[in-house]
Order: sequence, then C-alpha cells, then structure tokens
Amino acid sequence: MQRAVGMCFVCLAVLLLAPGCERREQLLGVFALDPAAEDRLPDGSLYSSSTQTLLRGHHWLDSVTELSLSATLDLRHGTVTLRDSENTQTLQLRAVPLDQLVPRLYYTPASPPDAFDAFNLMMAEYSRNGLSMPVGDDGDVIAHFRTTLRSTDPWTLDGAYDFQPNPQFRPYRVSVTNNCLGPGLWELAAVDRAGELYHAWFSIPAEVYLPLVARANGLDHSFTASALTWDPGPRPLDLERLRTERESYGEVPTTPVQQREPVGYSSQGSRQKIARGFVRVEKEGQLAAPVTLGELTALPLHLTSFVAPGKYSASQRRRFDLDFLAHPETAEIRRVEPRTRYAPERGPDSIDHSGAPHLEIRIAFGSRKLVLGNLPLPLLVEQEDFAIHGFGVGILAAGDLAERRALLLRQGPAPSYAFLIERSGHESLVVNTHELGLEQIFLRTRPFADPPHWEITLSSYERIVDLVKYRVPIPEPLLESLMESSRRYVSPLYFSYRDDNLR
Amino acid sequence: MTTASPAQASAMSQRAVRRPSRWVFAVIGLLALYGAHRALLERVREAIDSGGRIYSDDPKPFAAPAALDAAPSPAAVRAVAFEEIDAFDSDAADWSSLSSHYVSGVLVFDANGDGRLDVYFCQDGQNWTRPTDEAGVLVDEPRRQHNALFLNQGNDDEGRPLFVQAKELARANKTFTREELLIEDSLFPRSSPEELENRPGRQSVVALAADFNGDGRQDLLVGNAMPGMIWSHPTTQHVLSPFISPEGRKSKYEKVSLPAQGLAFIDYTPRLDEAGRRVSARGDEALAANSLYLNLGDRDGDGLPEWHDVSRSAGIEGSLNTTSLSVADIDLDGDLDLLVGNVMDADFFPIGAKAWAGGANELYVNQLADTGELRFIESAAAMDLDGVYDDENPMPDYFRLRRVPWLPAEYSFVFLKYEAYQPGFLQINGEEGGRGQISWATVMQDVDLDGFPDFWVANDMGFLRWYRNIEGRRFEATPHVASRTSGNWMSLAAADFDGDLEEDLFAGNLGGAVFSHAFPRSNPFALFDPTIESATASSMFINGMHDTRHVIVRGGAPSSQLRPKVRHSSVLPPDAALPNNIRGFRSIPNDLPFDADGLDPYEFTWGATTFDVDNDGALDLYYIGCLYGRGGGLAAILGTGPGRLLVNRWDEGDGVHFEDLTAEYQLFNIHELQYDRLADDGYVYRRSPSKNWQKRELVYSYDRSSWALQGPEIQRKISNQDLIQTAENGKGAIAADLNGDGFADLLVRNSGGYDSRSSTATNLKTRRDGRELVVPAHNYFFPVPTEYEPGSSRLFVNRHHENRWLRVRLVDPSPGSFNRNAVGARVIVNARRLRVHRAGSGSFVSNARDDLHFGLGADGVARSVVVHWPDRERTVTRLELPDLSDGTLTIDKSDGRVHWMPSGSRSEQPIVAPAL
Repeated sequence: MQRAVGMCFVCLAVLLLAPGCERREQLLGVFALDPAAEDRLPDGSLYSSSTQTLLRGHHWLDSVTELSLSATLDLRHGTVTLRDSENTQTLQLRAVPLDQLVPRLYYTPASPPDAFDAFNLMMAEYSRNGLSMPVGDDGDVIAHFRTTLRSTDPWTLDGAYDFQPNPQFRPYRVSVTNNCLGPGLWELAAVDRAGELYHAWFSIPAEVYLPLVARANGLDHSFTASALTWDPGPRPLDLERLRTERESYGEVPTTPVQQREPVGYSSQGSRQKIARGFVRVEKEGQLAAPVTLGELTALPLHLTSFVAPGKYSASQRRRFDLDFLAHPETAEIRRVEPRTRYAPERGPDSIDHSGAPHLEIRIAFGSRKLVLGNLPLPLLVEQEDFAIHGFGVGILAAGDLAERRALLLRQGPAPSYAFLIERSGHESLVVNTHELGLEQIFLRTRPFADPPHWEITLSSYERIVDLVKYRVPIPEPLLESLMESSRRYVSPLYFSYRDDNLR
Repeated sequence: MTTASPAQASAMSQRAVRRPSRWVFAVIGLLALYGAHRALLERVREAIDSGGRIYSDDPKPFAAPAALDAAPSPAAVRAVAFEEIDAFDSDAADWSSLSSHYVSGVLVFDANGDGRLDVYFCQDGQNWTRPTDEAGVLVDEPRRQHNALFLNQGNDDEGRPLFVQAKELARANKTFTREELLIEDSLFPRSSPEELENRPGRQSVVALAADFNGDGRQDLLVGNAMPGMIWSHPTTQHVLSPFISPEGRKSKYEKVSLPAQGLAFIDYTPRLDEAGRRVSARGDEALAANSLYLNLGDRDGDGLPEWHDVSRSAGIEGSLNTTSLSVADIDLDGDLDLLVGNVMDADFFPIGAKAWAGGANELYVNQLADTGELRFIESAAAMDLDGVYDDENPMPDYFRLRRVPWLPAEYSFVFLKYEAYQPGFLQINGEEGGRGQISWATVMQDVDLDGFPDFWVANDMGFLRWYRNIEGRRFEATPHVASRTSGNWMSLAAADFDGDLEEDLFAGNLGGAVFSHAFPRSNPFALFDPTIESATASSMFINGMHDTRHVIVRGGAPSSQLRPKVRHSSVLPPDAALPNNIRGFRSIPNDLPFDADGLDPYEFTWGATTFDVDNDGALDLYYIGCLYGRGGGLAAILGTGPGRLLVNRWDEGDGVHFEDLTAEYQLFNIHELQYDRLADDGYVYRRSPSKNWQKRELVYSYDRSSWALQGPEIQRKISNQDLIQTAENGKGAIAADLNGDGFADLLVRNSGGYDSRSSTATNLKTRRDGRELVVPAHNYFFPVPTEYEPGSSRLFVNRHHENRWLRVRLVDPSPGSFNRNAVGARVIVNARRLRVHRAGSGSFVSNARDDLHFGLGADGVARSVVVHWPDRERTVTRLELPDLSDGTLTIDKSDGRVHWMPSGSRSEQPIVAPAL
C-alpha cells in the first residue's frame, strides 16, 4: 500500500512538473544579425515592399547584434534567442518548427532519391518560407515568442498628434523566414499592426543548415547538398509519385481573359510592389509601367530583382519573356488520387478531404503544359481562391501565421503540385519556373456563372504581379459536385485563422 | 529496563500496523479530495468554455445560400437604379471623428419657401480631428466646420437637383448677411461670408424644421452635443473583448485598456459637462445648448432666408446631449410642443463601464397659444416623459453570474446561475453621470388613436418605450409587443406597411448579425461584476431578457408585431441569413425563435426611413448603420449595416412581405461599388480596400471569410461576406423628393475617420525628422489607422418614372391655431393609403419636412382624400377628388378650399372637391 501511495505521489509530481520541463536542446550556433541590408532610395527611405512604421530604426531590437539558434535533439524544433549586449531585454522564439521552415518532400521519394526528388527539394528551397508568431505562454506547443518587453503601446504622445516611438514596445508578431535566394539565407522581422518595425538578415552556415534539411526529409547529407544546389535546367518528371491517374473529363478550350483590365494582384502583399514600381514592361526600348494585364505577356517584362541576402534591389531588374502564356490552347481535366501528404506520420484518416475527389488540370501551350494537380474538389469554391503557393510539390506560403501552418500540416488536405512541363522526344521534362518568372497560381471556381468555369491566375516571380488569367470551362460531370462544394463551404481554419476579426 | 508483556507486544504490534494504515487512509482521503478538486476544476474549465463560447444546438446542414443560385424576381427586374450625384461641396462631408463628435445629422426642408427642398447639414463646430494630405500625412490643423445650408436651385437637364451653399448666395448680396449666416450655428456668428469660417461653433447632431410661431415659414431647431469622448476614462474602457477576438491564440481577460489617446491622438481629460458653460453671442450658455432660429423670410430676395435666434428667449436651449427631436401638439392647444431625446455625456458612455449613465429627455411645452409668446416650459419630469430611472421607471434587469458564498469563486462556474441586478450610476472624477436613458431616437405617433399624440422613444441597452399621452396631461409608459425585453434600440420609422390604415412602427436595433457573431471567450471572473455590455449579453444569451432583433410594431395592435417574410438579396444577403451561420445560444432555441427568412437576420441600423421607392403605393424601408466605424469598426460584423432597401410587396397578397433590392436599386452604402455585372453575371464588386484587408485586389459579392473563436482547438466557424465589411460608417438616412419629380430620393450621411475603405488609401503618417512615418495602431486590438477620410454625404436620385403619385399639403391658418402645417394630421387617399404628417421622422439624426407623398401605381389616380386634423375637436375632412395624379393637392382647414398644382407648374388653381 505504501508503495502504491508512493507511486501515486511520484506520478502526481511528474504530472504536475512535466509541463514545466523543457525539451532538451542543443546550441546550433550564434549568428550575426544585419538590420541594415536593404537598399535605400535617394530620399533615404527603404526600398521595400513592406510598410515601415514609426518604430523602424527606433526599437530595442535594433540594438541586438546576434541571435542564437538551438534545436531539439531531433532537429525538429528550435529556439531563437535575442538579447542585447547589456542583457537588458530578451526576446525568444520558442517551439519554432524548423522542419516546417526547411524544404520538404511531401511525398515518398524514390529509393534512392532521384533527380525528380532533387528537383522538388530545390524548388522548395528556392521558394520563400516564413512563419509569423504571436506572443505566447509557457506550455504553448505552437511557435510563439516570449519577451521581457512588456509595453503594448507602440508610441506615446508628447502633445496633440506628436507621436514618439516606444523602443520597448512588445511586437505584435515576430517572424522567421527561410528566404528564397539560397540555402541558409534567413530573415527575422517584427511587426506592429501597421507593418515592419524591425527586419534583419542572418546566415546559417551549411554545416548547420544541411543537417536540418536532411533530417527533416530523412535524406542523406550528400544528396541534400547536391539537391539544394541551384540548377536551372529541366529534369525528368514522375507524376505517378504524386498521384494516381483516374478518369479524364476530356479537354476544354482555354482562353486568356481580362487582357484589357488594369494590372493587379491576387494577394495584398503585392499591392505595394505594384504601387512602388516593381513592375515594368519594355515599350519601344523604354521601361514603362504596364497599363493592362495583356501587356505583361505581350511585352518583355522587367521585375525588380530580389538579391542577396534577400532584399529588393533598387538598381537591378530581371527580364522575362512570357509571351507563351498568352496562348493557351486547351485544358484537360482529370480525376486523380493523391499520394502526397504533409505529415506522413499522420496516417491517411486525418487528412482533410482525403476521401473527396481531387483534380488535375493540364493547360497546353504548344510544347509546354502547365500541370496543376491534387486539387481537392471541396476546396474549389466560389467564395475563395484556392492558392498554390509555388511550383513544385506542396510549396508552403511565403509568409504564414504559425497557427495556420500548424493546422495545415496537422489537418490540411493532400499537398497540391504545380509544374510546367515540356516534351523532349518521348520524355516529359519539368521546367525550373523560377527562371521563367512564374511563382503562384490561384484558382477561383465559378460553378454558378454562365458558363460555369474556373478562373486561373498565374502570378509572377516574387509574387509581384498577376501575369495572366485563364478561363477554363468546368466539365459537365463535375458541375454539380462543385456547386455543392460552394454551397457547403466554410473556410477551413488552416486558411482562415487570424488573431482577430477586425478589418 | 522493562520488558513488554506478550499482550503489550501484541498491542504495540497492532498499533505499529494501525498507525501507518490511518496515515494511508488520510493520504488516500487527501488524494480523493485532490482528485475531486481537479475534477471540479476540469468541470469549471468546461463551464467557462461553454459560458463564453457560442455553440450550435442545431448544426443545420449547409444549404444553398440564395445569393448563389436564385433567379431574379420580377420586382428585381423592374427595379431602376438610383443615380448617385455629387450634389454638395466638401462642407457637406463630416470632417470629424468618433472621438471628437459621435455623429452629425441632416435635415431636408424648404428653407426659403420656393417649393424646392433644401438640405441642412449638422457639423462638429469644436472639431479637433486633423485630416491628412494627399500622401496620408497629418496636417497641422483640424478642419473645424459650421453647419451648412444648401439651397436647391432647381434641376439640371437630366433632372438632377442643383444646390448652392448659403454662404455663396450670401456673397452675392451684401444685405442681411449676418442674419442669413446665423444658422451656421457658430458661437459668434459671422457678419459676412468673407469673415473667417474656421471659428468655434456648436457641436450639432440633429436638426428639425417646423413652423413654431405659425407664420407660415419653416423655423429651424438644432440639437447640439457637449464636448466628450467615448471611452476616455479607464472606468469605461472594459469594452473590447465582447466585440473582437483578441490577439494571439489565447483567451484574454475581458478588460482591455482602451486609452483615449489611442483613439483621439490628443491629450484629453474626461469630465461631466452637463453643467458646463461657455460664452457665446447669446452670452453665457450651456456647452450643449440647442438652437432655435425663427425664419424671417427672404426680405432681400436673394433666395436666402434670414433668421432670428430665439433660443434663449424661447427657453429651449437645454444643457444635455441631444440626439433626437420630435414635434407634436401634445395637448392639442394649437401650438407645437417638442420632445428632445438625449443621451449621456460621451465621457460617460457606459457600455464598457460597470455602472450606468444616460441623459434625461426633455419635453418643451409651447406657451404660444396660451400667452401669444413663443416660450417653452420644460415639463418632462412633471409629465413622466423624462425617462429618468427611478422607482416608477425602473431599469431593465441586467444579469451577472451569481457568486456561491464561502467557496472559492471557481466553484460558482459549476452552477452557472445568473441573477438579475440593477447597476449603480457611473461616477468619473467624483461626478455622477445622468440617470436618464440613452435615447437615440424619438417619434410621434398616435398609437391608440385617441387624438392625442403619443411618443415612441428608442433607448440603447434599455427599453423601447411607448409613452401614451393621457389627454395631454401626462404620459404613461405602456406595455407593447417589445416591452418585455430590453434592446439596443436606435432608430424608428413609422409607416402603414400592411395597408390596414393603421400606422405600424419599425424599431431598429442592433440587428441579427449578433446571431452569427463569433464572440471571444471573456474572462469569466468578470461576470461576477460585469460591464453593462456583458450584463446585457448575459441578459440576451442566458436569460432571454434582451433581444437585438428589429421589430415592426403592428399598428392598431401594439401588443403584436408584424413578422414579414423577406426575400433576401440574391446578391448580398445578410450574413445571418446564410443557413449555416446561425448559432444557437442558450436561450435561443426556446425563447428567441429566429426566422432566417424574415427580418431577424438584418443588420445594425442607425438611420431608417420609409418611402415609396417606385410609387406603387406601398411604403418601403431603407436603413443603414455602422456602430463605431467603417465596416463596424471595433464592432466589425456585429455592427455593420451596409444599407438595405426592403421593398414592400404587400399588394401582391400574402400579407406584408419585403424583398431586399438594395443591389438592384444600387443603394449599398459602399463606395467604389460596381454594379455593371449585376444584370448578366449576378454579382457586384469593387476594388479592395488598400488597408486592413487581407485579400486580393477585387472583392466580389460572393467572396467570404470565415471567423472562429480563438485557438486551434476551436472549430466553431461562421462566414461573413467580405463586401459587407467595406460599408461606410453610415449614420443618417432620409428620403425626400429633392428634384421634385414625384419620386423620393435618398440622402445618406456617413462619419469620417482614420479608417478609410478606399482602394487608394494610405497608412496614416506623421512627419518626424523630415520624414513621413507610418503611425501604427495604438495597440494590438485596433485596425491600422489609415489616412483621414471624411464621411461622405451621399445623394441618390430616384430614377423611377413609371408610376403616378400625389402630394398633399395641409394648411391650417385658423385663428388661434399655430400648428399651421397640421403636424400630426392623418391623411388617407382612396381609402387605401395612409400617411401621417410629421416634423421629426424618428430616423437617427435625420429629418425631413415635406408634404405628404402617395404612390398611386401605374395608372392610378386619387379619387378621395380624408384628413384627420390634429385638434381637440378631431375634425375630419372628407373630399371627393376629380381623379388627380402627378401634382400637389393643398387642403385648407379653415375654409375648406382645395387647390391643385400639377407637376411642373409653379402656380396652383382652385378645384372643386365635394365632401364625401
């Protein structure tokens, strides 16, 4: 009996104390922070696509010169610590899911992994991948930050309308981003509700970074190192690894639409890029602001370059020729069964819409085809865009709330894929679309329109501008199901989670 | 040394065994207690969660929203889009903000007697809100405003009314300019338009026109406010979590500091200003003194009347925050009396406080008929109309969580018992706020048809009151269909909706969006001592004693209500009309049945006005309203009314029913809205707001967002249509025939602020060290401030021309009568259409003084008219008419003469109208 009682106390002690215990971590390194990497315009303002607030340059974070990164033994979660040299304040990002921030293969690769797997890992590495975290408490399992900064007032008043920045302001959110320029280039940013109050860059050396990627994917180091090396060339395609083909709904004519409409964007993050002249077209030898959507494909396109360590260049542009996008021919729609999964350990039953039909849409442009696949039919609705964040497999959003990301990976549907492929003899090769200037795809389903159709939008390199919109008729056999999807639709939390319901 | 006997040894041995066994039992007992305590805490946590969380008792299957696949109705096809015109200059906009001045109203009346309706805009004469330049940078000075009268100059070739501001007309003629500009309501009036405009004025909220002295000209009464800022004192700042889901994924405490500086960008000290005084041209006056200007006519013939300030001599100034004015001859002595609806000093806005404050209403009884002198005696308390809470007029029950005595507070959550209580009265800096109610709207209506005009008073977080007039001697709060529960009553609109010749009453409330709102979890401990808002929410969702739905009180039977069905918009129905969006609350399944196919889902209302949009004879309803800002501001979703035109279809049988044709008539109170794809594609759209918007560049009427309570574990979701959140901050709405074509036009007033929904808005910026820097929201719980955008005053011109109409003008020049326009008269045309003549519409801060307007249908004519005059004799005039339409019929009570002025004519002719 006494032993039993003793055991009870031990169990009780364990139960009571366990939540306070932290997982053991190892220090991966201490890295220098550069908060002044951005180009400046002649008037001294930063050349950035982000809103810079009153606090930028006046915050305590600007006094921090380095960060330390530690990780759990399995390298899945990390802690990022910032403190100033005087140790007056600290800010610590906790439960940072490192395995969500490094490139991942969200399917079962070949054994041993082959060129197609390497291609997909490279496409993910060269896609921007950031997580934004709120302030949290002990015991939070989703990424969050803790800080000794307590003030929630970003500014004080010295008189009517005389705003004084508060250096001790606790940021609204802090984000970590593995940027798209190359392995190991990362960014740290803090925001208030209006925009950035802090942004800095840091590099994680290959000896630290590559093991994170290899461990997260179960790959060996040499393959990982090789896969992450930039290669602009085409590679062999193996879609069977990502899905199983089912019946085809045939081919439908596809047309570009809204060619005479003003240029625009599918996500708010691009609004400032357009407003600040990130987009130019070549007209009669001169660079000019585009007027209509059609000009973006009809004329040579010049977009502001994104350069190391991960900033927009005030002086360099990249030139793209996207004329082929203006000439779609047909689209083939097919049902597929996904073989992709965000978290293989979850098991098939936990995947949202796992039993629902999934579609693959192939839009032909002469010898090229745009392939969009594993599109879950219940999420193809009238109310919201279905976004594919990049070319490759399951490319994650460039910047995501940590909560949404956690929910997506826990509950979300089978990852979708997007490829541009071209024929080479009898072989289908997958093209590196980063070189072509393509990045995102948005699908809006209009099952109640006359005629029912999908509106498919392709957006550009660095998500700067929408490039082209297509109208793809919905095949009759799918119409009723798509109508029902819209009728039943309520956004999944992994799309809609927000800190508030304010606008 | 002693040795224990075997017996002792045995006993010791037993003790040795027993001693640990008692210890074990004690430990087990403690563990059991601890386990019970833990189990209790678990239960408490569940109780806390369910107490603050919405849940679905009836998880209805997702059904097809009508918006997605309904075919347009015949009425929708017949609808003719209104044309919005740019009729006024920038002085008509509201350049103030929520913190400086809660609301600015509008009045439509014929100021100069030329037969055309003019427009008078109330403004914030003490405005300190600084606007921004083109780059969104704050400028150094506010734009202080004076009230502005815009005089109707007739129409352009396309039938659009043209307006010129009084100051421009005054510029053209140098005589009587001081008297002409008096109604700008400045503290020290200008003598000429060349003098500085940017001078201190009164903070005008509402205005009303009536012929108070019986000289045949419309006088002007202006209701004013005192300085004040809602949520300016910590005592009143416990407001946020009931409205928004807080930052981060954790439940937050109910009290979230709402510093005044964050809203106002100025240093401000709250104080009670009801007794505050200041110096003006009148001498010493109350800070909220109202103004009465007698119309002297246009003596210099410049199209601009002159005015005489009789506020002081008439004894009508008052000292409280006035939001509503209603005129009636309450004692039928032949002159016009006045009900003034008041609210609290804004510093004492109690929604986020734990105690109450309001403003006593005032009843000014006119002595003109008795003494020949235009002088009023304030008699509200004496006649039981002041609305002050006391033993005879008790507060509604508020509800708080009952604390179980002796035990730790957590144990109270197990039982979740709520108890009724009455809060105390709010004190700030040692001063106690008013004990009255928050009376946003008032309207006169002879509910019991005894000839004595009664009043309805719409009280926020209180009762909708029917004050029955007891033979002109006193008033009695009388039970009616909506008097059992309290509400957030804010607007009134009287009309005979069902054509039974008994006038009904639309009472606007917080609306049905509450039923599809995702409330965040509040701090349950605060429920022991809740804020007024939380106590009201408990009253509604726990005890069923508060109701936020609109009501139409049935005319002639005020103990019942009309429950019209509504065919929702095929384009943008209210969010709460989406079948999967209604969530059950504790009290709803039994106590508050929700009719998703009726008025219940309709949103927040401020301004509400009834008019016959297509002159088919049935009175339609239009209303707008946003609670704290564009898109509802802090009360996003819950407090957003995008504008609704509910077209009355009672003529089509099946009783009264409405059809929401706001889209078809293009009357959404949303800027930049495009309707060009409505007919062919069935949707409307606009460019997305450039700030505080997460989605792509265009927002379509079919776009939706889903919200949930905080925390990944929470799966309750509701959907909101994105476009609704782009609504302007609507306050006033009034219908009147401004271009004289026989079809009522619509005037809407919005409030300004740093919350632009424009697609080109920039962040709010300040200049510092020579650089323009973005100003972040003052704390995490607020949207990003944008460049300042003034509140627009929008005029929508009705473009219907198909149906016939009749206008009726009443004149009573009888000796001893000073109610020359027969305010209070009931007029019935063709024994089918009823209208009541009012001065004081009931619409929130919006009034019109116009002739009575009757739609006659496609080929209709007026064959008879019956006038019930507002006098002690209950005089009735019954006339047969010679098939009249499209013109103005003038009926003179004194000699029975009838005149007819066809549309387009400037002169009237006598006609023969035999008595019926």
